[in-house]
This record gives sequence, C-alpha cells and structure tokens, in this order.
Amino acid sequence: MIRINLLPEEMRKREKTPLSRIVVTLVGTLVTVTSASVFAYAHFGLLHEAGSRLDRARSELESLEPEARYADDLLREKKDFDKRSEIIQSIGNSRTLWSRKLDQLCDVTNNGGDADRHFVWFRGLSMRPSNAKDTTSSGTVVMSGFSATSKLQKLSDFHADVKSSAFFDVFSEIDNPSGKVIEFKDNLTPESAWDFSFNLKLKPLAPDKAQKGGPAAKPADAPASSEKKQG
Amino acid sequence: MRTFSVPGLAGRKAFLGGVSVFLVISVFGFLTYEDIRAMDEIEIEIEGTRSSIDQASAKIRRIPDLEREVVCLRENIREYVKILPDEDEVNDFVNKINKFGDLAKVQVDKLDDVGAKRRKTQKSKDPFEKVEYKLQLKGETDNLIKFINLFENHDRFVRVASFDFKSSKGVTGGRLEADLQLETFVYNPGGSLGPPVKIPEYDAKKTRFAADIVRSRGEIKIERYELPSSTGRRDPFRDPRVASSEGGVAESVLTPEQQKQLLDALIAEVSDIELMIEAEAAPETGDDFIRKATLKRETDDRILNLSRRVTTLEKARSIETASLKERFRTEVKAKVDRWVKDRNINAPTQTFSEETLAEYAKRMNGAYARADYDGVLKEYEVVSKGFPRNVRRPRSDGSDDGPEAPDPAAERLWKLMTEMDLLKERASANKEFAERNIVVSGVIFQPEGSVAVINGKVLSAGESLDGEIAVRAIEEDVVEFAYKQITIRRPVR
Repeated sequence: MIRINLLPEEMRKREKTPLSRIVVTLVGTLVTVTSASVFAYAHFGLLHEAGSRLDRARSELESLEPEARYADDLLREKKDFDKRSEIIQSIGNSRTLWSRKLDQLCDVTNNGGDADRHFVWFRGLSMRPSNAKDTTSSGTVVMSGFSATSKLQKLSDFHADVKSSAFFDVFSEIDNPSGKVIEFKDNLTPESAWDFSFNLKLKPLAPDKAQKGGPAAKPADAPASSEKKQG
Repeated sequence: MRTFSVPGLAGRKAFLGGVSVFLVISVFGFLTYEDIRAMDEIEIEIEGTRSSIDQASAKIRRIPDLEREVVCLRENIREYVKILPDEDEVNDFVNKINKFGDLAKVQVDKLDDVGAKRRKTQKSKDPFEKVEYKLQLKGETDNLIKFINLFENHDRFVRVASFDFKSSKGVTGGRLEADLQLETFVYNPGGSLGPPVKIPEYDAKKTRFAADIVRSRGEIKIERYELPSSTGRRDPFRDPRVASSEGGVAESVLTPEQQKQLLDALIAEVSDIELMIEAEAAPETGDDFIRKATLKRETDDRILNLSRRVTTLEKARSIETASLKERFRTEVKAKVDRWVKDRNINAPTQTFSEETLAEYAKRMNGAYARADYDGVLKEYEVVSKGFPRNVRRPRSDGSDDGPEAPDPAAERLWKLMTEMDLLKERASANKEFAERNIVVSGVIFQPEGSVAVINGKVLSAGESLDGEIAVRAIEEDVVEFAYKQITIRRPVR
C-alpha cells in the first residue's frame, strides 16, 4: 500500500533524524576522534620525545667515546707494561752466578790444600738446561774426573763435601758415589784413582712469568741468595 | 517459515558507519600499538646507551689515575731495561767478548750468534727478544771462571745458559776447552703493543708524578759476584800428581820442615798485606785521604820487599817439595806478582829530590785550582814513579812507628807526597762525579725541608742518591753533594 501525503509542503510534518542515530553517530565520531588523538599523542608526543631522548643519549655517548677510548688505550698499555715490568724484574732478580758456583766448586775440590781427606781433579764439567716441559728440574750438571787414590772413602768424602757445600744450594740431587779404579801406569804418583762421574740435578724453577713474550727461564734462574761464600 | 527483511537505507547507512568507525579505530589502534612497541624499543636502547655512558664516564673518571700509573710504569720500565743491552750494544757484543777474553787471558776459537739471521730478517713482536751467543774457548780454569765472571758482572744483563768444560789433554790435565752459551735480552719498546698512547703534557705530568715514580719503582737487583783476587788453590782440572822419581824433594838446601816454616812465614806476610789492602778500601771517614795514601805507600813498600824476597827464593830454589811448591806458586808468588802489576809497583828508576817533588806539587795545585783534573792525574802518574821508597811516617801523625829521632827532611818529603796523594784523590773524585751525569731538574725550596729532583729521584738533605753520593744541602738554585769526602755544588738545570 502506498501512502501519499497530500498536505502542502509547508504543512507537512518535518522529518527529524532519530535521536538514536544522532547518539550513535556522535559516539562513533567521538571514538574515532579519540583514537586519532591517542595515536597522535603517542606518535607525535611520546614517540618523538623518546626519539629525542635517544638522540641526546647517543650524542652524549659519542662525545664521551674519544675519552673512553683513550682510557681503554691507557688501560691496555698499563696491563702490558705491568707484564713487562714483571718480566724485567724476574729477569733481573733471578740468575745463578755460575762464576760463583764454579768458584765454590774449586774451593770444595781444593779443600784448603788438604789432600788427605780427598784428592780430586776433573776431566769434564758441563751444565745443560733441561727440556722446558720438565718441571722436576731446570737442568743437569755433570762432573767427571779422578779421585786419588784407590781408596773409595776419599771419593765418598769428596761426594759428602760437595753435598754439604754452598755450591750444592742450587741442586736437588746428586748421584751416589760410584766409579771404577784405574791404574795410570804413567810413572806419576799416586798411581791409581777412582774414575767417577756425578750427575747433579738442578732445582726446578718457579713458574716463569717471562715464558710468553719474554725470556724463557733456564737453570740459571734458581735463586742463589742463600749462598754463603766458602772459606 | 523465516522471513528476511531487507534493511532500509538508514539501516545500511548505520551499518556502513559502524564498519567505518571500527576500521578507523582499528587502524589508529594498530598504529598506536606500533608506536608503543617502538617506544619500548627506544627505551631499551636508551637504557643501553645510558649504561654505555655510565661505563664511559667511569672509565673517564679513571683517566687521571691511569695516566699516573702509565707514566710511572713507562718511566720505571725505562729505568729497569737499562740492565739490558740496546741494539747497538748487542752489535758490540763481539768486541766485548774479545775484550773480556783478553782481560781473562782466554782464547776465543769460535763465536756463533745463534739468532742473528732471524733478528735481521724479521722484527720480533716480543718486548724482550733473546740474544744467544755460542762460544768455544780455551784457557786455564781460573781464567775461564774470570771470563764468565766478567760477563756476569757486566753492566748489562748476561747469563750463562750452558757450559761444557773439557780437559784438553785428557787425563794429564792442562788448558781447558770450553763450550759456553751466553744469553741476554734486547728490549723492544714497541713489542706487540704498537706505539705508546699519546698522553697530553707528558713531560709536565712526569714532573708532577716524580715522587710516585720513585715510590713505585721496584728494586731490580742484578746480583754480582766478586771473584777472590787470588785463590791460591790448585787448578781442579790440572792433574796434581807428581813424578815418582821426584820423591817430593828436589834441590832445595832446606829440609821439608824448614821449607814449610819458610812458606808459612811468606803466607803470613801475604795475609798481612791483604789486611792492609782491605784497610785501604775501608769506608771513608774524616781525614781518610791521608790515611789511605799513607797506608797505600806502606803497603806498596811491603809488597815491593816481599816481591824481591820471592824472586830471591825462587832463584835459590828454596822451596822445592812438590805440595809446598804449588802453594808457594799459588798462595804467594801469584798474589805478589798480581799486586805488583795491578798497583804498578816497581822500584823507582829514579827518585825525585825534594825540590822536584815540590815543583810537581805546585803544578798539581795549579791544575786542581783550574779544575783540570786530568792534568792533576797526569802529573801524579809521573811524579808517583819517583816517590822515594821507605820514607817512614813521622811521629806527628800520631803513629808510633816512626823513627826514634825526628827527621825533618823525611817529614817534609812525607808531607809533599801526602799532599799530592790528596790532590790526586780529590781530582779522581771530581772526575768520577762529573762522569756520573748528575742532573738536578728541580728544587722545592721550603723552610720546613727542601727537596730536590735529582736524576728523577726526589731527595732531601741527608738522603743518598745511590749509596755513594749524598745530598748535603739544598739551596734555592743549587744542590750541594758530598762524594768521597769532597763537596760538589750543582746548579738547578
């Protein structure tokens, strides 16, 4: 069915937007505007401000970096120089004076001119450093020679004197007395002697700070401060 | 039956409006969500940057301390490595070997610079580069020990890495053949570190930290060993046996007992002289120059007399028992010969008169006044050879060993010789001091106690620079030192 309004236009009932539609439209608009505002605030306010803070922090860090690098360089140099200092001190403060050791050995051998207790002369004396992996000893000294006469007691006394002397301070072990009697047949007296050879083991060294980038420790590094001069 | 009605225009509009609003809200929501996430990330980044800033600030706060520590370490290491040879000294090592070989009377047969090629071709990155030399030598035992000792007592660090001594004549003994390996290290300041950090105003900071540098300096003690001057021992590599036919006694007219008594008397005389020589080197006090000169002259006289006696006994073959002869040779003759040589003692070829001595004394005084110390020493070298022997010390010196009756002529001679001895000692002391390169780089002059920076050390009056040189007084622009009983003034540089 078709309804026709025949009233003149000015008398017709004016059409109004329904209140509900207005309310819905308003709410929609409000929500849209609000969400746009929240976004704008977040984007142009908070995010921008955070970005600015980040820029400020970065530029502050950038301005500090040269000095920080300088501090790093100084620290690196300090560590390296600390190490060098340790190395050079370990070099300087640890050395066996072999001239002193040999002098002491000559004293022991000479025994103040007393040939009654022992009467020894050498034909060979050597010192060799040990393998770097050997932690039990830093090297070996080998002494070979003759002990007049054929009395074993004299060789034994020499052995005992070596062991109790200041010369022995840097050693940890010495072979027991051994050898064999030989007859010289050269018209010199005494005519016989013990032909002997002793191995002496040098004391091990403390871990050497100079192993890397510096001098490797050799048997010469054993401390010798406790030595006393033999009379 | 269910019926669907088509929504009206308004309904459709409302629907479309709702959808649009939803879409707009969703878009903004999404964008806002993305912004919040971005903000979170930025906050994390800011936090990280802040942490880096804190770390950098902490590092920067340490810079003054680090600078001080690095300056101290650099300066101290510069001092420490003075014990090591530099490149030039390593290149000069061969000369040193020759020189020490001559001094110790050792024959150098072979020399091998173990790492020479490597050192030439590639620069080591190690701060301490090992330098090794292998030597083959020949010599007597004492000479070889002296050769080693010369290196061990050398200014620069050298150590014996290995050695092998062999009696060159096998069983009968004699000269030794020796293989010797010597080691030292060269300091490479760059090393693996590269060039040092450039510290602004380094010199000013070095001066400011002078006290810290001295305080933090560890002691590097290079141990040395003074070999006994003459051991009187038999050579342990020499076969000490004697010919059976000698029977121990040769042509001496003395019995073995008499020979022993004679030898004991000679050894006692040697011991007395050794004590006198020791007394010469005793710590110096008061008028020690005079005491020292007096003692030296008396010692020289006794050595000369003993030397004559030893020569006579040798000619007369007074000591021939094998064991005593060896002791005579090592404990008496060797010592006396060495003293005569080292102290340049010989019977004067000519003895100067009192007038000549007075003339020399005048010239030496003049040279000393002009600070021509070499001139003083040259004059002394000539005049001392003409000093009259056996001029006894006069009683006025407080001694009781002068002649019974005063001898004015001897007294005048004694005074002249003592005066010249004194001038020579003072000239030597001045010369030695000049060679020590003492530099006074600054003085803090204050009434409660002044301090001076001397060769990098901060010292006050009464303190010693190196045990021998003491600071006597500090003035505003001059430091006064006491060295071997003389006073020497040095201006602030």
